[in-house]
Amino acid sequence: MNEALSRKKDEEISDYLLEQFLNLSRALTGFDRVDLLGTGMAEPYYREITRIYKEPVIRLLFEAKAIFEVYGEHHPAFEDQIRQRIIEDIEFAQIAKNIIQLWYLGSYTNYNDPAPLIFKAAYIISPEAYQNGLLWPNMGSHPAGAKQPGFGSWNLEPQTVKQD
Amino acid sequence: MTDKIYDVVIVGAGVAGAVLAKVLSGAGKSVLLLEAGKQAGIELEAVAAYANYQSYLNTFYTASAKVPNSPYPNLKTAPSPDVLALSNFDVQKPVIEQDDWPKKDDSKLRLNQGSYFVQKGNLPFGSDYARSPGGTMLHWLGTTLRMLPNDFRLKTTYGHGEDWPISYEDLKPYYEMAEREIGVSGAVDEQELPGIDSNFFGADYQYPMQKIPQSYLDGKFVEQAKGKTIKVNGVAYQLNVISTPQGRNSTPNKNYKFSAAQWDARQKKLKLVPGEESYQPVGSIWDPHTGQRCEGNASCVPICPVQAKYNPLKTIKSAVDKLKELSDNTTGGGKSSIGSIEIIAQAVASKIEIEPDGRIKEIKYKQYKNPDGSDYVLKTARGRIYALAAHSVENAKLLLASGACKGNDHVGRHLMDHTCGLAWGLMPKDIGGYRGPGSTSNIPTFRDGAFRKEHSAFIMPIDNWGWNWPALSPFSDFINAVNGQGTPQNEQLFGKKLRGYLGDRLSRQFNMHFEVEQMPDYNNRVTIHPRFTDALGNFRPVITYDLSDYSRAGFVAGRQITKEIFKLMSVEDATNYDPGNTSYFTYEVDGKEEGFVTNGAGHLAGTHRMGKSATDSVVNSRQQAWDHKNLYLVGCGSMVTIGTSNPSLTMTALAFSAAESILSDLS
Ligand SMILES: Cc1cc2nc3c(=O)[nH]c(=O)nc-3n(C[C@H](O)[C@H](O)[C@H](O)COP(=O)(O)OP(=O)(O)OC[C@H]3O[C@@H](n4cnc5c(N)ncnc54)[C@H](O)[C@@H]3O)c2cc1C
Ligand code: SF4
Repeated sequence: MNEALSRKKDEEISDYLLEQFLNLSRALTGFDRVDLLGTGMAEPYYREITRIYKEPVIRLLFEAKAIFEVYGEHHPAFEDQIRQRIIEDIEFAQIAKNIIQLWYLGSYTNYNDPAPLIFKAAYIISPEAYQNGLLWPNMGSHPAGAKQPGFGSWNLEPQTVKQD
Repeated sequence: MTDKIYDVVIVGAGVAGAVLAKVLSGAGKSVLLLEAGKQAGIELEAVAAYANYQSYLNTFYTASAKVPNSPYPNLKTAPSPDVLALSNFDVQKPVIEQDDWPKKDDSKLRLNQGSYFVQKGNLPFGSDYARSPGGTMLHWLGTTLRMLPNDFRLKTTYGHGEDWPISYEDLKPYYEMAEREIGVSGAVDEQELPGIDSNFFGADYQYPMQKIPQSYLDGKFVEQAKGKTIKVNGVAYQLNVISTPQGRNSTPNKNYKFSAAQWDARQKKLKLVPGEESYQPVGSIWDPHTGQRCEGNASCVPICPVQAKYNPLKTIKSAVDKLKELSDNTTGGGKSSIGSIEIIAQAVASKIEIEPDGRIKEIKYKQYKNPDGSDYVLKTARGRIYALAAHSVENAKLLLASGACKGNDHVGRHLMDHTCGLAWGLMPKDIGGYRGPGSTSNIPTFRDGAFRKEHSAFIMPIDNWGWNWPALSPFSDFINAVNGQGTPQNEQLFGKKLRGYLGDRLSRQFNMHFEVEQMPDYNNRVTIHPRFTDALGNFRPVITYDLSDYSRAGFVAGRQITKEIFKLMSVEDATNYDPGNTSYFTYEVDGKEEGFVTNGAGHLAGTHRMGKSATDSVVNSRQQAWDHKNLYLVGCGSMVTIGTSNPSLTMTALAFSAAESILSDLS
């Protein structure tokens, strides 16, 4: 197979998996597709999480896909399924929590580090990742040191982004 | 070695050194500024200055623990203290054993991993400073309070601490100069402070800029707490809440009338002269239009992305620009009367050489190329007068390393800081935290009063950044929520529930703190030992630190008041002083031992204090070393007490006053 062709195939696969990654991310973070895409970070986060955890990420995406397909996200059991099969699953728990953390804070925590939870080695994957953390707008604020809201804004009533 | 003899050699390009350099060069003197930090950090030309500052900013963005020094390089050649190393302090387990040091009385010595400080007190010293050009104010918060009149006569009035050799009135004109230079935003008429009279600011005095708007949560606080009465130790106090003056840009005050401080050679005085134009906020060093107003980045500690907050690089740049402008507009012989500033970076002053008659002969400094290496070239700087402005701890170290100021054993002693107690909880409703500058209001009620006979005074700032300080929020809230720690039924949260939980919790987080005055205790000190050196062979500070009963009692009163305030405001108290914290201490309250955690404030002072006599101080009221007529020690180290004001405004005022003394010596 020539090189150009193989690259094309990789890209196609990435697109497909990226879509699964976004679906799973919606379920895990509670943010909708537009919020997630609006950060411009979907690809870097996907790349980072697969770089760290490799194959299990793909298995996780297919597990999520199965839940989406069998239950659909408005099904009353959907959330429980995500919890039981992902959040509480030994293999997937860390990956899932780190996917949430990437979207919320732009950072990754190494759960294998023996330090107490709060001091665990965590690193922010890039300046952009930090600046696009969704935790901040979710509380009506902005990442400390970025996206400054302007002179005197802190004096006004907070405009918390309300969930739909 | 350069043969040049400068009028003044200054060590350190923080605010103290910057103010000296500006005033002295502005009065026609030649100045050499030696700075330990990296060359990149002192670049003043727009492109290079911007590039360097962006590198600080990007380092900050990616730092997982955004502590004060996180944006700035920690150099092997000129290390800075790291507050993260505190967690390695272990009272039970001295790290050094089977060594020639500690001896018996040094059994508490601890070499914390990753730490620049060697700690040997009962409590670890919890503050840091930054050894980068611009100094520690790169990451200061920006609070600019004057000290109160009684702070200068504590011993006489309340029988504690020490009196200053100067009074508030003596320092007042220099406070005005400092407020001009830093660019303070504030409302004079709102400064209802205990123990002052109408002369405190003087008729018609205004700050250069209008007050920084108080935060939304300050407003909630004022609504519910201001004017309320609370009882402490049986005495009733009416709570006041006022706006805090700050060194960050706001709307210029039309009524402000002064231009920069000028040297009057005939009267031998520095004077703030009325300006012809109205005050202009000073923007960033790379672009005067950037940072004209505080934009609410909410990251003042550790870095203001737009430089709306004052930092000393602004002072250095304005001085250098002014000299250039003068030079461009002057022809021929006139040029010789223009002052100069030469800056040598990556130059760590290491020893002061002293003549037999006590005069300083020269300063030896180690200039390095590679900040991560240990190579250097030893060089010499000579001047008619020398000024150490390398920060209170570094000044003391340099004096000790040089055997200077040996008339008594006070160098390095009387180390002070504010001991900070934090109190945090959840407000009933969204208060819109994590927005704006770190603190925009304070409770001044306990800054002065008869209680100072019994316990320390304290100021109570109201904080705007949720539980960032006490609990590493919002990171800790996130990590706990997804791991089901402290959540309802310990559920591991995700999805919409997680969003809802964090949104609610973070927007209700409230923190306030009390900064308690520490007395100048003889045993709290910085010292050196040949066993502890850095990569260039310069000494590392060995610090002995503890809290006196007087401060502990103040701390306890502060905590008691926050409890009362929380009740008033229906705050669900979440304050938790962890006995496992290395800064945990106990104190007897109502017959019972209670535990507390102290935090450093970064307000390191007192290591070369001024005084009336050569027997009990290191410098005289001119900040001139008693033992060395051509040596000035400038910075918070010269302060006798620290009152309840963050120290830098007072220290900047003292730097103006020192510059005046130096100029009169030179003329
Ligand atoms: C987190 C934090 C918040 C703070 N907030 C406030 C606040 O809100 N209000 C307030 O008033 N104060 C505040 N402070 C205190 C304030 O930052 C300091 O008081 C002030 O910066 C001290 O100024 P300085 O010029 O004496 O020393 P520095 O600012 O530390 O400057 C010293 C300079 O000397 C250089 N140097 C050191 N050693 C050598 C050597 N051997 N040779 C050559 N150069 C050397 C350093 O690199 C540095 O540039 C805060 C401090 C901290 C840590
Ligand atoms: S709030 Fe933001 S813009 Fe204002 S001083 Fe702080 S960091 Fe700078």
